[in-house]
Amino acid sequence: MSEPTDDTAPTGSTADAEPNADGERLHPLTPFLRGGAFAIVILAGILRDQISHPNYGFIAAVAGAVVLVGGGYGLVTWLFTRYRLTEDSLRINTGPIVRRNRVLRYDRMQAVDVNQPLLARIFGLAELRMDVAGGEKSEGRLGYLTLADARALRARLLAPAAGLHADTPTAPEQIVLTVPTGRVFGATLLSSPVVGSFLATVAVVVVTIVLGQPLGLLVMVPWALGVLTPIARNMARLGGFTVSSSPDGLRTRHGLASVEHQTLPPGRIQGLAISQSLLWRLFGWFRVEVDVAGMGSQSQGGVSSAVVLPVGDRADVATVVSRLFGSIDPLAISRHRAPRKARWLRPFGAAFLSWGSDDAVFVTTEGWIDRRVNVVPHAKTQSVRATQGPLQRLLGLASVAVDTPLGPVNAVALHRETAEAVSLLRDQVERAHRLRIRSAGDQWMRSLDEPSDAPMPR
Amino acid sequence: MAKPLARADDDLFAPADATWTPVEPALAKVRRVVLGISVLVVAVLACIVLWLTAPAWTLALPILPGVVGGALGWLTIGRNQRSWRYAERESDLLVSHGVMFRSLVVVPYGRMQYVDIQSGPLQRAFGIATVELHTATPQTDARIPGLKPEDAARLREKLASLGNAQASGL
Repeated sequence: MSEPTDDTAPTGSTADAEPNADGERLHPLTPFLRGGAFAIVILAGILRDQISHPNYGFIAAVAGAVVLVGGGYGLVTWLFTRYRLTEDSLRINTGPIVRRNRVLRYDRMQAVDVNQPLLARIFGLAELRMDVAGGEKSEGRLGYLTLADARALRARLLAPAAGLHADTPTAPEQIVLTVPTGRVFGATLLSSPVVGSFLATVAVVVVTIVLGQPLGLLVMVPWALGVLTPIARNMARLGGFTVSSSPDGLRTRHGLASVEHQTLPPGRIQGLAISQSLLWRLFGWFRVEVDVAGMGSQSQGGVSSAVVLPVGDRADVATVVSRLFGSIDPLAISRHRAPRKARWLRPFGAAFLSWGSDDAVFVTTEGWIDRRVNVVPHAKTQSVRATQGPLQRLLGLASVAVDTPLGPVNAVALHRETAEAVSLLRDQVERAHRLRIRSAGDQWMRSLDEPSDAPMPR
Repeated sequence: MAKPLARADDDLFAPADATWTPVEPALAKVRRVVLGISVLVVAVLACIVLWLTAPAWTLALPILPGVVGGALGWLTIGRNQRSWRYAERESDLLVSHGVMFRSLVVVPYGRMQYVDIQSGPLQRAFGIATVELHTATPQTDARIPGLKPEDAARLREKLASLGNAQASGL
């Protein structure tokens, strides 16, 4: 875990020593990129009231001051920021005003990704984002470097983490599938918030016309907020979505303006959720999300969710799931439906409740309007819980939940016969115990070479 | 007056293959004290409001609901305290509680991230504490209230060492 230590590296005094002794510098454009957007915002704020009566002298003075102060600070910070690869960790030293030494150990690194925010992408630069076990999100960012340098550094960081020699070249990637950007557009159009806002806009227009009032700007609010914004946001964020497999795990690349990568090491996947809303059912579209541990989110446990497939058809889902779970096909596991009595508690949805389990994963389905499939590998089960409310007790039913870290996956076998719940609880506890002992450790790449006697949940 | 629980329910919420330890009756006492104070405060406030706004005879109105509510609460607290139980098995811990809403949680030792002991002033006065286990998810919600402090400390030591020994991270 990277903690600021008291060891202040003598970055200032060795400026004239060997350039590699204290580490490399980041790309010279870094301070301008980091401060650039910020400076623009400040300038806009200060000069907003100058638009109508421009006082060029004042504008020039303010712009000059912002550039000098901001640029100067950025330049000095850049001069004193260095990074260095040691035998067991990456060390980043910053200074001179705020002194910080970050130590990022190779064996704690779970994923390293190269991202290109829009501004950096224009100049051909990239930023490295490292997910460190137990670390904060802000700890593991290093930017900016040229794209080639960033990729090389990424390869050098990942090799020791996977138990390979440090000079292993970048792992080749194979593109598994690409999501056509048009489909993202269509899927966003058909998502419930957008459709709802569209209908609201239509309703407002109709009412306004019927009442004989002129169409005011009020009409634009649901349109802009509910229809245009989600479309723009989803296209920018999810456009050009590509899933590829690499020895590091499944990798996704997405973004039209800024480009972001996300690596999903198989050992870190806590659960998977496949969902399909009512409108998407017309087109046979699904969405796949996973719970990933140690992605450096703000929450305590450091678990967040990642979208593996924003929209895809059944074949795409099968492809992605097979990459994540190997030879196991969670959708093919035979499942037990809820008893008829459950209809008293869920009149329509009871027909779609089911659970199933094989040697590796636990699967539940639910949903009448919006369908959902939750998959949890036994090895990732946290705790198992049985609950029964008074209505359930009257009917002789109970629910069994397999707990996973907070996220889109919510695996609950709802409204089961009590006897069935008893055996399900007992079996799940035992399966989780057996597979937890066997699950892969940190250096998962090395463990893949070792013989194992059964397909392990990846 | 409690309905005998169905046998299948017992199998689910109190499996026979574990030795179940109940919690201290002092837990019920603490909760009843809190209940009594709350009922009293609400009744006094209601009486004040009625005295200021309504004819004098209405002051008798809060009495019946207060007494009935207090009695029901008293009995429910007792039943609930008796329903709390935990069992230490070889590789996991079971915690079961509830009368209306029953629940059983099975927490493997290897999944425990940390164990807390909490004890408020009223609990300390009655000599009990609460042990809280945390896994990677807040859904686990494994708490055992109403333990004697020395039992709580012993349990925490045992869980901490077992958790370390069987830890498998995420």
